[in-house]
Amino acid sequence: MKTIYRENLKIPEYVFGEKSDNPENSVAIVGALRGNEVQQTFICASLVRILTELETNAKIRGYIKIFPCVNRYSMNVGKRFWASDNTDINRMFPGFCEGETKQRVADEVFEKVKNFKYGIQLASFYLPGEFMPHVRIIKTAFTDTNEAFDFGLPNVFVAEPSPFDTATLNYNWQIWNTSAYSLYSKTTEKIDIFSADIIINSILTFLSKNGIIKYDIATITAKTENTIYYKKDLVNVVSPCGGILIHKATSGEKIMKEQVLAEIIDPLSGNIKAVVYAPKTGQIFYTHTSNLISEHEIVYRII
Amino acid sequence: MQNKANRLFWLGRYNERVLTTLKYILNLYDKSIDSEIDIDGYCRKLNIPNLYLVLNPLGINIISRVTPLCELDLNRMFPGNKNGDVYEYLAAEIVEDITDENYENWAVDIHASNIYLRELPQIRINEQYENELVPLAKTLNMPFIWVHSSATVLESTLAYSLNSRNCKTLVVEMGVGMRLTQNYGDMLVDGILTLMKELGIWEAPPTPPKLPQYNPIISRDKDNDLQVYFVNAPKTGLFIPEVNHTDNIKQGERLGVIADPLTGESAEILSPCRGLLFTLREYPVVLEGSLIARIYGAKKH
Repeated sequence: MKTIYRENLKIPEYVFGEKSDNPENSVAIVGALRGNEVQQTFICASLVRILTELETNAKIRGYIKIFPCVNRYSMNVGKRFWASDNTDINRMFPGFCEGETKQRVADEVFEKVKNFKYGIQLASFYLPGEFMPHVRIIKTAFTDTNEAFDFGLPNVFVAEPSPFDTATLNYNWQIWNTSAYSLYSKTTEKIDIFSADIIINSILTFLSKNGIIKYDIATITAKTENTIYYKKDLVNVVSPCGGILIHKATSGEKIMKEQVLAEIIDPLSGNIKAVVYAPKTGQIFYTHTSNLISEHEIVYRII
Repeated sequence: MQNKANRLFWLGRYNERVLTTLKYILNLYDKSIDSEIDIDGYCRKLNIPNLYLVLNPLGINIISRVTPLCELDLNRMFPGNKNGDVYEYLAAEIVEDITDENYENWAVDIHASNIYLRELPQIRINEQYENELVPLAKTLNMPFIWVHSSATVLESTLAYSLNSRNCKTLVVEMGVGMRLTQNYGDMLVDGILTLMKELGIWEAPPTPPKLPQYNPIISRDKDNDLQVYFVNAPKTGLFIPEVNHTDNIKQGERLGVIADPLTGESAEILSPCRGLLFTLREYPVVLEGSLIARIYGAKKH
């Protein structure tokens, strides 16, 4: 697509292996659909580097397509959503080739990523925060929850589709018979090498277990216990007031009931306005990262 | 003479009431942004409909269509979630506040398009609710009613959430986003008063002021002969219109050109049908696919 004062908008893709009549061992991996998904682009770029090496050593058994950054148009100008009108491409799927600009972009992306056996999206949450790395499935009749264990990640989160989910890539992949998984890394705008490596290894594990690459799984991921979580298993801890948020605990940390998780400081007087306690014993799944917080924002999600 | 005096008397009464109400509401408006006020109680005392002047006051304050910080469109977050984040919570509270299982409720959800398009005042109705809503929509004094197919309905909007909870909701689109089109606003105020009278919410004066009445065009997506045609930009550039919004257009008529600002080359945009130009591009920069116009009409075959 041509843009008015910038170079043409292209969606770069990397292909590994040969397309065959057997779609069973094919996968599409999609990175940044939003312009602030830097960690997600980095993970895809790392996969491109690793898979290039594997291809050189003839270890690709299936067909892989990677789109490290769909939304360069926004990323290059520091915008999260579509740069000219602030809309979200991940609310436009499956797209429409004769529709509005973002519907056309979504359509072009979807035409490229559909008809694969597996679809993996490096996703980010709509709120600014940090996650425990996990795989998320939007529950439909099309995706096998147990297959998510092949990523080797300890946490599998199964979400019932909300109204807005019906326009996401993950949901529409499933409608078009692709087993779709969204992988969440710890960060979005900042690169966190440690959690990026967890996700990279989990994707390599998945590809290996499903015969798409030949790789020694034992060398990449130790066997882990998998737990499936549902929305009901997540407890939101919301801020009782606004102020400056000082964390006393971080994502991934195991916590005890009544443990102090954070303090909210009055931004003018410096006095403690509120103390945030753990409502249950568990593990912190999500942490709000901004140091300024309003009333009733999610500070933590606990599993 | 008596009739004229009677009308003047009522006109004065309503002017006074409107001014007093507006003054009170405007005083409450600032407070409503930064603190809690009992707007529900206020409306109950006056026996007037609950007016939600603005559901995203922080967005208004930063001149933004979306919510601050997380930059989300509030009208894609309904029905919300009481246990969710602040805006999900807000959405859930709004839905709960407006709907009430014990009463028959109606709502008018007023929109002003976005900054890119100029809209003829219109009511948009999901075909699923056509039978209940079209008769109400006719009273709203809007020249155009668009009954659109269920397939294009966004389930995450306020209107969808309200209608699915038995609160009959009419969605109004008019003018341009972030702009005030006074005559459109005046038309709608008249329309809302008429709707309230129709529903028995408002006791109209014996001789109500004469309102301009529209016999609205009703467009149904399922109709084959007359329907809404979309005109999207075939290329990127600057759109320069050559027709006026609300013009009646002939099939093949030139709506404008898209000029490439670097090369000066231009492409002409032709109307795909004859009919009423009810949506026209306001913001000149277009990318391939940007909506240029919507025309309600028919095609010659």
